[in-house]
Amino acid sequence: MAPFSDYLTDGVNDLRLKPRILRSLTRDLDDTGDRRSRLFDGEELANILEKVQLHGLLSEVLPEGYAGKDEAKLREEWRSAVDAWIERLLLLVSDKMPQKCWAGTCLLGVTIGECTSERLVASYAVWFEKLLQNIQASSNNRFVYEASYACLSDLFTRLSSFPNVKKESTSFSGRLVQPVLQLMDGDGSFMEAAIDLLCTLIKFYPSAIYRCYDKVESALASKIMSGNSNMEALKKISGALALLPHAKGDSGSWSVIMQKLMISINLLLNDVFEGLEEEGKGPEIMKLLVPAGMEAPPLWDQKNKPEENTHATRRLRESISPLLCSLTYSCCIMLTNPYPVQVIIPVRPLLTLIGRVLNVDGTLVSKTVFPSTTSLYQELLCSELPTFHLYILDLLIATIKGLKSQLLPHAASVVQPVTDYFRRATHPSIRAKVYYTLELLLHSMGVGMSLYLAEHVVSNASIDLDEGRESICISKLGNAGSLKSSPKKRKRGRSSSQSNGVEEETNSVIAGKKSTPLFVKIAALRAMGTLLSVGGSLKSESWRLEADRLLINLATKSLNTFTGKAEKYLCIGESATSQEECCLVALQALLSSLLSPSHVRPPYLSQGLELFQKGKLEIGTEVATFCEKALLALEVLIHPRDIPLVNYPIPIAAAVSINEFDDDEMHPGWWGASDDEIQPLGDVNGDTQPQSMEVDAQKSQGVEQERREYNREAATLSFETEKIESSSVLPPQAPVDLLPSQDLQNTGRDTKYTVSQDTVDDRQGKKSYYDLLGNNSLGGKELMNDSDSESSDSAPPVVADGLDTESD
Amino acid sequence: MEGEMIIASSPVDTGVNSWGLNSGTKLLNYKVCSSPRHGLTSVGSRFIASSQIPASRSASTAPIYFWSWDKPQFGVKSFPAEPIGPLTANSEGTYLMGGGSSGSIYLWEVASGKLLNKWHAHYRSVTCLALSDDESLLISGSDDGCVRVWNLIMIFDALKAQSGLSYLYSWTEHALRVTDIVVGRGLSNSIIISSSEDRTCKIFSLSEGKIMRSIPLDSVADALAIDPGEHRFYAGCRDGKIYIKSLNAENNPTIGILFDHSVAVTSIACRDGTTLVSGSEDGIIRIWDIMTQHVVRVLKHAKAPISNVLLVKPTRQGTNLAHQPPLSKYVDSSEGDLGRNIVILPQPCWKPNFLSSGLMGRQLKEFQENNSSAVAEMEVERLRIENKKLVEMAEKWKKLCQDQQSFYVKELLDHTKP
Repeated sequence: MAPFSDYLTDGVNDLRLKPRILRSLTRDLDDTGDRRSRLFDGEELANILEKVQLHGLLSEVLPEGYAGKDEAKLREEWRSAVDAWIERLLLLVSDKMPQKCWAGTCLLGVTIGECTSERLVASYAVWFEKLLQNIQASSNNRFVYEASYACLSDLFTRLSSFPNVKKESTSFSGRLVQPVLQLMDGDGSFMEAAIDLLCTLIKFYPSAIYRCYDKVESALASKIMSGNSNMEALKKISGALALLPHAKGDSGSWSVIMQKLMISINLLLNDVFEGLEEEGKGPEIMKLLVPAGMEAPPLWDQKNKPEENTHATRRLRESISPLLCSLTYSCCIMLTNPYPVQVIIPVRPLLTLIGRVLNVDGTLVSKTVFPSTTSLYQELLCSELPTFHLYILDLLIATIKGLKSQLLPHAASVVQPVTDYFRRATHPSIRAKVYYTLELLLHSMGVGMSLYLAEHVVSNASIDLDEGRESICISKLGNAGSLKSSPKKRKRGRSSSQSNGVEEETNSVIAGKKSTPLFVKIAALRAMGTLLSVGGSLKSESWRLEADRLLINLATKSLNTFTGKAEKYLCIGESATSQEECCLVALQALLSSLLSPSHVRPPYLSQGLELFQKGKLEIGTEVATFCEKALLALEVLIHPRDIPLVNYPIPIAAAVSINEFDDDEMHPGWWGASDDEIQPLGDVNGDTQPQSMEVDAQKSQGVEQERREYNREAATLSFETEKIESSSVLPPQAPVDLLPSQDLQNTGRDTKYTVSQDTVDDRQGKKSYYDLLGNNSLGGKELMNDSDSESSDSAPPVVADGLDTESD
Repeated sequence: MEGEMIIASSPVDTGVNSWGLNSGTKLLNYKVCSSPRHGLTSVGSRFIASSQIPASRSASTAPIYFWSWDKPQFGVKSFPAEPIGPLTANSEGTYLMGGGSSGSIYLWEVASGKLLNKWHAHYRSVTCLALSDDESLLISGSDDGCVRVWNLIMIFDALKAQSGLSYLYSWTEHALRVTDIVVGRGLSNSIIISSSEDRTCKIFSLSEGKIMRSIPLDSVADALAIDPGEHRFYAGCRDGKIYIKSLNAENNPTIGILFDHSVAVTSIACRDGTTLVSGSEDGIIRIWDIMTQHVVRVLKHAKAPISNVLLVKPTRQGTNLAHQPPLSKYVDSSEGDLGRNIVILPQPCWKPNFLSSGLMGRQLKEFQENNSSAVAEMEVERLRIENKKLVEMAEKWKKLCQDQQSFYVKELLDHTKP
């Protein structure tokens, strides 16, 4: 049945191969005859999928400028092969047997993603109807459902880019909303796939959702509030709820959803934190959320609210924790996702809410014990509290990301609670997240923020990173700078007022711990690296040395561990990949520490170079790649130099700056003042200094040569053009035709004349000026460097060349 | 809208003129503007803002105008509490900062027009404002020669504000009025260059917090620009020359002079190290090629001195100023004021995300592992259908068999009959 008998002339690259493979795959999908069983073993299907994607069998695109003599024939072949393929798939899609239906639907989905636009526009209606039937059939299998929804989602995603079918596809999409809603009202199986479809519709067909906005909102909200789906599904639903305002696309609906989410979180916390925080926090936030005189939006009701007599443990773990997670997740998505119009973000309530959660540390605040707050409840809450804090830190991170520079007025009020909290936080994953928060703050607020955070980042990082001195780290933290209140004092103050014991316990946890988990170290290193690159040299005297020391030690240690030179074996929970990541991050932070300018030469430069050199040998790893970049970056530090622009037009002046650099009086950096401070620290530095001089001297000669040549050309060019285009204002580079006529008129003839005159005068003036300058500067230097005399010689040629061309 | 534009204004009412930088074509004239030096700025490339010179010396206030890129008439007119001289905005266009004649600095949130903060920064009027490269520090220069660096976060820190002295640095090296300030790159290690009527430029180091160098000039520099690579900076002076000063050499830092203006250079702007735009007292704008030190183009603004020349890159769609509230006069200290920020989230641009092939891969894996209920269900369904088919088939065969049997029996009987 093979339609062609000829061989492939181009072998694997022959385009005629594609329709042939597709035909053979279509035959494989045929379930009549002997092949029937192969479709059901999965491997065959995987093979078909792989072939289709690998060879791009459905694209029907001939390469640009394909000029085979059989082009038309090839197109036709390919087209008919795809036709046969789709026909086969559609048969499968409407097959009663779930396996076939599933296979057909999946492959149709792939086809929708890859087929040509013409094909899609021509036949999407048929495909849609087929898929819709599958969704509406009640007896379907999960695989079929999922595949059908994914397929529909792909179909609408792709259709959204064709404006000519927008109207029809919108009406099609409207027909889907009802089945999706029904599915959500049901027991919630297959829901995730349907939510994906819903999200696609919200994104690309907001008008379809607009009509049943309220229904969709309540369906999503009730799913979240009931809280009895698994975490994965809940996240999807929360994401969809956060996307929902796009269906309306106005600022108001965004605000309402945000307000509802925050009120729900706040009410939830009222319940949970009773007795564990000062009273009045909840109402205070409510007042901020719903300003006086405004009405609160109708809230989503918590459908199957847990009974009062449900065991408190289960209530916390099974209902409240997932609910808090999904509500905060929704908020995060809303804050960070783009939105078509300006929105009003309630920053103050958000930050107050975050502060509220972070403030609760599980200790009782009031002496009057609430009936609900039993010691058992406290215990339970304390076990869940770190999770709550993690969620709320995510919310803080999203706020920082979403607000960007607009956080500025609130920055100080973010820093205070976070740094306070950091001092108390002991839980590793919380510490890692706080480090990330600080890092983000540094990124978004820059230098100004580094002034606020430096002490905190360094003092905390020295706890987490300094393995050798962990036992004394507490007292170290107490001494570190003049922090507003040292943890020691805090501890004393607390334990004297309450005999709770939590605080003491946490301190002993830090002190007694053998080593910090790697991911905390990685987070700490990242924060340190950011701090050093953002604000490493501004008012950093108090912490800079300590930070540099910490980083070089850690980088050395982690590189040794990574290369296997250290005797340390993998600890529990430290995989080889995380070792590598730690090493990489440590080296990155070290590079920041070396590059970040302080007012002295980096004290650990030579050690750092050695480390990078060592790391570079681990070929094929990320570490090696990074080390190579680091060496390149540090090269400038080893050979500080000031290379003038190569094509700078004034030779003498440029030579002056080079000479000045070569001269010992001159500082290679920006200014001369700190010259005295640069002391060679180790042997490496001592060696490199003279070398760099030599190199620079050579370089400057080379540059000099080039420059002189360039100038000769430039001078020739400019003199010529000035002569030729003496009536034009325009100097050589700008084409005359670009000059607008009115400008020419505006400036008038006089100006033109003066301009060109000026340019010439200027040139002459400059020459004499620089002659003077050159002679002055050459006074004591003539014997020092050959390039001096050369460059002084080179002054006349500019004019001479110009004259030459003139005589030409 | 053109790619990059030059805009220029004068201290007398000439409006703001705009030209395409590459074509030199004159674009719009934004009407009614007499802006003081440094009083013209583009707010986040979204629109133009300019403070105005008060109508008379005794006037207690002067407006600030906003123009959208596509309309010659101003869209918003605001009246601050006092005449504002220099104006500057951050690159996102969220904040607008203005320096008052009393020495106060005002900080507005652009989207809401709220005056977020106002603080007494100098004893004499503020003459220029500049933001550091990461826009967290504000550098202000004053009539009395004082240059101060402000940490904007600290400005909003209520606790620190109470203790007073909220500036990071205060440099008093200039003897006379500060005329311009430019800030280099390098985060905490940036340099700040200021020019003054005392005929010097001074280079300050942000990290060291002190003056690094003082560069004497032949004349008073009114305008500064820094090369993006920070090799050198340009000082436009009252003697009509633009001095190119090296940032690397200490003695004889002059490495060139651009000289074409016969009258004082009042404002300069530099782009990517190759093009310099200068405006002078006679209302002429010159575009220079820095490499060759030639004038590439001459533009005529007006028969009046130029107060500001800026290089701007308007955003494609521009901003409709119809909903832009004017800047408010006073700080609203009520609770709700700071509580809500109007935030421009980025425009959504949904990337198509095809689910099918990913899902198919996951399902295939599950299918091959053969351990989920859905797979089992599917298998059961398949077996049921196959079973049904087989039963049907068996029935058919049975029937066939019976037919055959009856046929043969009949045949046999027929044969035996005769």
